[in-house]
Order: sequence, then C-alpha cells, then structure tokens
Amino acid sequence: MNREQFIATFREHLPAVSKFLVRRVARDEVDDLASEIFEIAWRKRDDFTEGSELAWLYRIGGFVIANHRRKEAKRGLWLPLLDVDATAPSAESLGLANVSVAEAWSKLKPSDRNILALSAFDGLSVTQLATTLEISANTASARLGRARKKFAEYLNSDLSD
Amino acid sequence: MNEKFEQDQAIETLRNSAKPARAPKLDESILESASLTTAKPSLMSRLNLSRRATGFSLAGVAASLAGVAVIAGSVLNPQPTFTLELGASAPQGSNKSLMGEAADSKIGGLSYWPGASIEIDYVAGEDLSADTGSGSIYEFVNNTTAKEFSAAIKRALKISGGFVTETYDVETPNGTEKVTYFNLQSGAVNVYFSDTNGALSFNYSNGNAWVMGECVKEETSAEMPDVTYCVENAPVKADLPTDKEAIEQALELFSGLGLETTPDDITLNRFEDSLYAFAPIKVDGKSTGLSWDIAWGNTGKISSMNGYAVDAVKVADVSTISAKDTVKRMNDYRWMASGSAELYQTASVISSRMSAEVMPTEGDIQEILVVKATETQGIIYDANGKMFSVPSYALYAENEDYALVYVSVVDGVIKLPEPIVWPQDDMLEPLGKTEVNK
Repeated sequence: MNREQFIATFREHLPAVSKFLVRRVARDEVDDLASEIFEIAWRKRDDFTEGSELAWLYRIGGFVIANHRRKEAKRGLWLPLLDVDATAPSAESLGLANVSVAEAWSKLKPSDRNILALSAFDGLSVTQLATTLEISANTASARLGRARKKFAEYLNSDLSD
Repeated sequence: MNEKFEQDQAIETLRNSAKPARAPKLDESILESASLTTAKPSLMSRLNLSRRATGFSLAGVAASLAGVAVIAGSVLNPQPTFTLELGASAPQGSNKSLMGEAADSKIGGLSYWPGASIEIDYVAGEDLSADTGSGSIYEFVNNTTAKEFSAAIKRALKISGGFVTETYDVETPNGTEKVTYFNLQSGAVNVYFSDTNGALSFNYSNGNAWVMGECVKEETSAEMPDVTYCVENAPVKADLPTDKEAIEQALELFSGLGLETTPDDITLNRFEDSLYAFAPIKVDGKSTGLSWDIAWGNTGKISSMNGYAVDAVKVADVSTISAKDTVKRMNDYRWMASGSAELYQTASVISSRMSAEVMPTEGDIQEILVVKATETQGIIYDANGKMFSVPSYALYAENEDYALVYVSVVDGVIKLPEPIVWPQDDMLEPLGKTEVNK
C-alpha cells in the first residue's frame, strides 16, 4: 500500500477514530493520540486485510491509550503487556446521565466494559470485535453475550432496588 | 420477560444515557504526516530473529494455556547468544576465564515497542543486597532420542497416527544448519517435537479438551451478511479433576515420561473452566528454570502438555555478583534470561497479549526502581543454541509482580555476543521436506 492509497483508505475512518478516542481520553488529547494511531497504522499497513481497517485502528487505539495512561500515571514502561481492557470508557467519560446506568456500568469488569463499549458505542460487529481484541469470532460473540447479560442484570437489579 | 429483550432494552438505555460524543474533527494532514514516518525494525523483531539464529524453537513453549502467565517467561525474555567457555579448571569461586571484555552493548532499556527508541534507566533500590555469592551452571543434555521419546508419549497419552518429520534450514552463527521438527497430528490432537538446542522437547495439545455451549443466538455481520456467527452460547459446567486427581495424573504422566518429581513439587493453578499444573526440572534440590506442565480443559480432558527429555549436567561452579550489581546489567538485553514457571504464577501478565505493540514517545527516558531481587536459575542459550541453566536474579520493579530475570554470573565467564545487527527483511523459507516415521 503506497502513501496515496493509505490516505485514501483511512480518510473515511478519521471521524470514527476521533469518536473512539474522545470517549476514552480528554478532548485535548485526541489529536496527538490519533497521530500515534495512524503512524502505527502506516508502519503496519501490510498487516491490514481489506475491510478490517477500522477494527485494526481500534485495536491499535486500545494500546495507544493504555500506553498514554501508563505514562500519565508515571509507572514507567516496565511491562510491555498493557491492560487494554482498562482503557474501556468509564461512566464519567461516557457522560452517563442516568445514575442507575452509571452504577451498572461501573460494576462491570474492565473486559466487559471494553467489549460492550466497542459494540454499543463504536458499532463494531462480532467480526470486527474479534480483530480488534485479537480473539476468535466465537470468543468475541461469547464475551459480548456475557457482557450484555451482566450489564442488564446489574441495571435491572439497580432499578428494582 | 424474554432475556434477549431485556438485554436489548438495557443496551438501548445505555446508549440513550450517554452524552453525544463531541469529537474533534481530525485533519487529513494526520494521515499525510503518518505516512512520512520511517519504519524501523523493532528490537523485539531483532531479538526474535536472534532466537531463530540460535536454533531456539518456540514450539516447546505452549502459549495455549488461557489466562495463565507461566509460560510467558520463556517467550518474553529473549535469549542472548553467547559463547560459554570456561577455564580448564573452575574451582569454587574461581572466575578464570578465557574471554575478553564484553562489547559495549548498551542500547538502553529493553523496549518491546516497535519503531521508537526508549531509554530505560534501571535503578537498584536501597534494600537490594550488595553481597556476592556463588552458584552452578548446568547444561541441558538429552537423555533419550526423539524416536524413543515420541513412542513413549504416544503410549502415555494414547495417541494414534504417524509422525511427520519436517526439516528447515536455519541460519546460525555457525552457518546454515538443518533443524528437524517431528510433528504428529491425529484429529484435534497435535504433538510437536523439537530437537534443537540440544534439548529435546515436546508440545502436546488437544482441541477436543474444550467445548463451547450450544449456540442460543446467532447474528450476521455487515461485512459478511451471508455468514452467521454465534453471539451467545449456553454456559458449560466445567468437569475438571479434583486437586488430588490432577496431581495424581500429573505425577503419573511426568514421572512415566522421565521427569523425576514428587507430589510436593507439583503446583496447581485452578481457574473457573481450566486447571493447570507444573513441576520443575530440579537438580541438587533446586529448580533449574525449566518445567514440565499440563493443563485440563473444561471437559476434564488434558488440553496441553509440555516437557523436556533432558538431564541437567553441572558444567561449572561460579561466583556471582550482587543483586545491586545485577540491576546494572538490566540496561543490556544480552544479560537477560528466561525465568522459571514458579516466578509467574501470580504475575498479572497474560501471555497471549505479548504481541501487542504500543508506540511510546521517541526519546523518552524512564527511570524504574528495582525493589526486590530473589536468587533463581535462569535459562540462556549459547551460540550453538544449547540451553544452559545459570545463576540469576529475578528482579521486580516497584508496584510490579512480574519478574525480569538477569544473569548474575560474574564478568568474564560468559562472553556476550556482538550487539545484534538489523535483520534482513526476508525470513528463510522452510524446505518442507517430509518423511513419515511411525
């Protein structure tokens, strides 16, 4: 993929990447982190399969955010393996106005919040989730199902209290 | 009320409750700037190639143990190539060596991130010991042939089918060498042998050991509308052996296949839908850093097993540097070793994510305080790819429970290789010569 093809292919994904980031980081950090995401995407452009670009961008985005948060927390770069699930948007970053919804969301495990956010807010299909999270489609579907179920249980439990 | 309907309603409530994402408009110049970035080979890529060059095979390292970080050590701690040469006699405490000064290999801290160069400065905490010590170096030597070992494993694990031999050309510091792998595949069962490094190892896996519940809901995707995927499976109750049963089975298989071990040496890790056990290869009463391991899937069947048909033979008694001085070696990747399974039982690292790549900021310097050091035996490889167990320290940073293992043998005993040069873009293609051996 040459430079022109790269720009043509990824141009349409700029808004989605911006929305993905703004749900997870401060608004004034979106530009810088978006730059990092696309720099990595350029370097790894031969790894993309046609049609999977957005899922890959979200995958890269997860790690960029995780690394960004690590630096922010001044924990250093001890581990190369960062908890991408911890980059899932919080109730605060989503601006959840409903208290019950916010509480139910906060009760979810990070991995459940991550996959649910990618599905509900970033609109990823099961196939795209599999690419983004680097798991099989079956595993993605199972995890998404569990996350949806958990969230509904927490929400309905909270509403009935 | 219908469960699916409730979930759909809950997700709809979630979406409606969130404020609209007022995302800034990204300028297309981001893409133009990104595409001007120059690609650099990553340090991880260079170290991976180094492992291949020494004939080290990852086949014996089972990354199939979901949720368990134990095997991560071997994969996450790339091995330096070195020429291990000892003096004609190496009495206790002697550091006589025929080696010259190690080349200056300072490249900063080990960065697993591609492209960017990060300098990490490791600093020894006050509580680390300044005491020197002593230890022993062991070489792992095969104690049987691949043919005999594979026959024993077939019997023990009741595997049918024939073995296929595959031979590949691998570039090593000594030139092009042929590396042979033995592979047996029988349905979902796969047994993979590696006879490189002078350490015969096997990796067994059985895909039938795991089952997913019956699909209760399917969906299609926009990309492939004619393909359906299951989005919800019925839960499966795991049928795992008890601790007593697992230890008995592990003991029977490990001992039966050549590992000298006892029930006390077998460690179990139990998860909701899997069970894992490992036992170290010991010598002189202590772990060499290599282990056998076995895992059970949710059906209760063995899902994987890995082992080595080796004896640890002492080759030298050596002096060791202090924990404090070992920390100084952390800025030179060539001193890294693989840690033993015991180190990673509770570490918060998931091996399946090791391929992740994150881009830090170029030129960053990170200072990391090392607060804990424990003596251990680390696994390293010489220039011929032979595997050794050497005195090392497992080093822990502040607030971390994941150890990095560094060799603590005094200077002059182990000759470090020249720093790795950039690898060539094209990797060697395997010859793919096959023969069937039954």
